Amino acid sequence: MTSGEKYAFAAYAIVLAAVLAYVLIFATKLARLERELTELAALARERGALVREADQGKGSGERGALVREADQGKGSGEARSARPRRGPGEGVRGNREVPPRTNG
Amino acid sequence: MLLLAGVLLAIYWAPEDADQGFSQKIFFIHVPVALTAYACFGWAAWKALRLLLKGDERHDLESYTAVHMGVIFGVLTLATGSIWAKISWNTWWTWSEQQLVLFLVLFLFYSAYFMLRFSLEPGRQRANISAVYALFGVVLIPVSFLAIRLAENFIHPVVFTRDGPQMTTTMFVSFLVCLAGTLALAAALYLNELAGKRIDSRLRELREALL
Repeated sequence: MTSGEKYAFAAYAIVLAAVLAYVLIFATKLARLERELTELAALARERGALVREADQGKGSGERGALVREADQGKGSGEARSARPRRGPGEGVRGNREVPPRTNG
Repeated sequence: MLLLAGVLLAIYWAPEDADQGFSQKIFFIHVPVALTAYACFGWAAWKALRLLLKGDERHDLESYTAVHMGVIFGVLTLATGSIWAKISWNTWWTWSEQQLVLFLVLFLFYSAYFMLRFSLEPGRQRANISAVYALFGVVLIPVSFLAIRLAENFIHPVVFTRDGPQMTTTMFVSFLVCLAGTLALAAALYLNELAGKRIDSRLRELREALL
């Protein structure tokens, strides 16, 4: 193989490598989005089940308790940060989300 | 597939250049990639203009994604150009060439777009400032393209002149297929990236609504 051929193939290989790297990065991003979507779907199902239970318990005095329970879960549950969603150290920065800071 | 066909045509069908030999085959990937980078920056500017004129915020994400693609193709242009320079001129880079330096300036200008964008809080103001910046950058494209034609002393070859392309028909056809392939690749990557960013944004909204 001549040096000209080596350099030419190197140029083509760089383009191919870049495309492959991009596909890999995008696949990783897609996997993250799928994971987040699964989490949110589970959360939405959980909320839906609580609301349905509250509707079924309407009239028997259970609704108020279940709704309060759902609201407490929303307001101070483990899934929610103790800090507000948007604050000085967290929120959306560009196209990435800065996670909330944890205590300790 | 189009790009692969173009590469195969360039390697096996197009004749070897009399002066440079096989290394001239880099032309078939370097120039289409550079033109695709220009096209991405041009598309970003068009979307930025639409944002400023119509005020539709979805153009902000489209403009940003186009700049993102343009910078990727810009890196590839610089890398393939450097390899070609090494085999043709025996140097990886030369500062005496206006074409090279202007393309580098264009690339760095659009790289700085990300610094500007991520230093501002998301919202209407960031969208407008980013759009104005993207519009300023597009002015550099004709300057970069014409610089080599206006300069008198250069070693960077000029293939497309007022008399048409200075190459054989088989070379020109191979080049056009490669150009169509890189443009199609850029369009596919752009649409994928845009869809990914939109899904990401919607998921973030959904998470904020649920949590």
